[in-house]
Amino acid sequence: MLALLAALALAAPPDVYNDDRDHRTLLPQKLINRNLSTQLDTYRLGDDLGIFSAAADIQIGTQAPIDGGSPTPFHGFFFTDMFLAVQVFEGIEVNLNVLLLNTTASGGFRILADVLPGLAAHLFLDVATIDGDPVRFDFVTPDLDLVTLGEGLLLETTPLEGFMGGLSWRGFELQTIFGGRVFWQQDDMLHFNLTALGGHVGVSYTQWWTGFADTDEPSIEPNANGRYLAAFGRWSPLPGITLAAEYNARLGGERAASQAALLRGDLLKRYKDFSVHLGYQVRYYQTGFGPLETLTAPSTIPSTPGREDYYATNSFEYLWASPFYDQLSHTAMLEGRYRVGPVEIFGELEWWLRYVYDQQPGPPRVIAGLNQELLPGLATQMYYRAGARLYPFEQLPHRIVAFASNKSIFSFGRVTQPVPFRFIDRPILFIEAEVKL
Amino acid sequence: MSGCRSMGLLSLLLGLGACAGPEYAELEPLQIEVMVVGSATVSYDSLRVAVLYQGAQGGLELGADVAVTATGTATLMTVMPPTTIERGARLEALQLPPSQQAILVARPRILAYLDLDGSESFQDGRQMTGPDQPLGADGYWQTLGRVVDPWATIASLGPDGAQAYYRLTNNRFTPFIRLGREAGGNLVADTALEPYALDATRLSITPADLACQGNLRNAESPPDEVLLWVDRSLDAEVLCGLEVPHCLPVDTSTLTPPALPQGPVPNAFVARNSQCRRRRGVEVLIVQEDRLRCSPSTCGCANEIRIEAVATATSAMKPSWWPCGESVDYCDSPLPLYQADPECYPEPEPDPEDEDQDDG
Repeated sequence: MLALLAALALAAPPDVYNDDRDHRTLLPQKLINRNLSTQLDTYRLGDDLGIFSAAADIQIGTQAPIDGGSPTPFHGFFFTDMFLAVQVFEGIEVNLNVLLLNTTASGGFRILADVLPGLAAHLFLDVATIDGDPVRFDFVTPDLDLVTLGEGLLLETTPLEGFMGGLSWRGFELQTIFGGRVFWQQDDMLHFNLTALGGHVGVSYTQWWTGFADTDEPSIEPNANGRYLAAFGRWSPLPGITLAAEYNARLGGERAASQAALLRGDLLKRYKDFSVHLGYQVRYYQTGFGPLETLTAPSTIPSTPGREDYYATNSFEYLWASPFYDQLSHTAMLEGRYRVGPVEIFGELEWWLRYVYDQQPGPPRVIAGLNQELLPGLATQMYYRAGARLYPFEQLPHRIVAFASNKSIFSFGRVTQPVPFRFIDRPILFIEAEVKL
Repeated sequence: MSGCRSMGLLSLLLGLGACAGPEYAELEPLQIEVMVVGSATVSYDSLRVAVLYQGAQGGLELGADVAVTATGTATLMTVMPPTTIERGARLEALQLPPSQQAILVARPRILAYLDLDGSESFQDGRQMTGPDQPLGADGYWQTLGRVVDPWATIASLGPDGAQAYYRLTNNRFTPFIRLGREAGGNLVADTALEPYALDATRLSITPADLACQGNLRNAESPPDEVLLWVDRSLDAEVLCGLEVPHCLPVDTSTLTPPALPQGPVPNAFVARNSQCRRRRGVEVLIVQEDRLRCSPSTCGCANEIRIEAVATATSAMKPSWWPCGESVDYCDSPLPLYQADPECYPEPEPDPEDEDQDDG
């Protein structure tokens, strides 16, 4: 065990600084807007351009509701996710990610087109040497791409802008993250964490507050005001198996401490033609854990199709209801894919069971959840995605995809307009073509 | 839903335990404080409270009807909301602050009445002509709204609207919302948290107030009804002249004295005052009763004034019961001698509760 700990303590820095993608699943993974060159495979046209790196993920697609209902927001879309990185000199990299997209052709000629640029300046350098090993300093701003805090109890795979940075030495890291506009208008988050064993264990302090409130009157504009202490860790007892846990307590809300906890187990196996992921999560959020004292609809941006590749089980779904309810959920995840020649058959399943209960004396308060379900009570949700991918070129990832799913991203048309719920739960046939350059 | 609360940790982790859906959640009952003042004639055996709804086509629709089981002058009672609202109730839009989302509410009137026929229902008094006796109803301008379908209403509101809703109901799942009305007649929410009080002493206007949906108006008052007793030390014909038709000579020493007002007034629509006047050798005791009466048919309210006065010569021997200068003060007024001058009415005694608040 000591040898294992020593090995973890000396773990090499990850390829992507603070990579918060969920690598314990088989869900498609997007590129992250930093350390681009370390993410590019050799088929990428911009893989080996000296101080430059470039990539583009291009996708066109359509969605046809199987239930015969009205079209979904993205029923005739394209998007081009373009990345350009320039290593100005050793220690400074400038990353530009531009997402070009058009929600649907039905909106009129280029009417619903959007351009979402994100720039991340990444400073990295060794600032000292301790016991023969360098102390590395990293700083990224303003585009943080996906952010997960700890094991995701408070915030998980959420795109943010702000800054993050810190010092790392061997397997230890001291880091701070600031993110603006998290789940509500004008809220901000400042996070500090100290991790060891290459990020496998850690403690953190997070402040979630409203930085630029227009008023102190909570009935007009509820203000976030949460301070959180957390401890988290993960362990891989066997190859492909990961167990993780997080405990988090909000201090100084309406009660002295409101608690939340997450247990997670994942089995991820990859064979030559077959891969499978089995996952399970149990989450508990006590009344008052969320950063607001009043029920307030959360919202998230941007509402792009790429966000279908994350689980519905996310703190976004819990924190807003926290002023009224205790929440306990179980989620089982299953993903699998099997490739036969140019064809890959895949399936994904997320089964989410949520208990919501009101601890207030008297009849429980009834509200509508983000998906119009009445709370409190037992809410169940199952998302599925199943279909096939055709790879016309044997060694290249370009593909045509056809699948059925009941999870389609919700959007008001403009992907930059905050949305109060993330997914449309309707059976939909998706046909897409993807090119990775 | 209580099963959801009482689940043990193991049950929670395993996801066991009965946990009924919210459609089965019960509604918080309405707590009403029934104030009965001057209740010597009120029998709690027959005192009940009914919920009536203003009908869409006029008239009243009947709702819940409960008995007052406790005794005392202030009774806290519980009205369970009916699971369905009666058809025909008139619905009005209420905007929830601050989002201004509109919800539909019916306007219940809470009625305290004496169930004189023992039917345990005000149904027989629906047209205000039955045997049951209305004692008082809540005010039209400060009253309640009953959300028609609280489940569907809340489902339509979203989190922010639901928060606004629960802010109005003191964080309770109840279909009753405290309301007021703006000057223009629009309903507005009232966030008062004290118990909903029903003053069961509005006897004189309750039937008309209910029948007219609160739309009572001023009507022309009838002439004052004056009865003037004139002591034989004075000339009754000279004193009364043509203005006082009921003017009777009497020996005041044998006259049954008029009843002087004592104790609190029975309700806000009745006022009784006494006053003494002196002028040019004549001394008069005046007892005046003002009573507001409203007609359910015309919705007009008029102030009826009844005056009983006793006149005697200033120089004459006063009867033993004569209260002027002792329990009744003199008033120097230019008004006719048989009319009480409101300028001389004593200041109303301050409400003890108001005094407490001032002290605080």
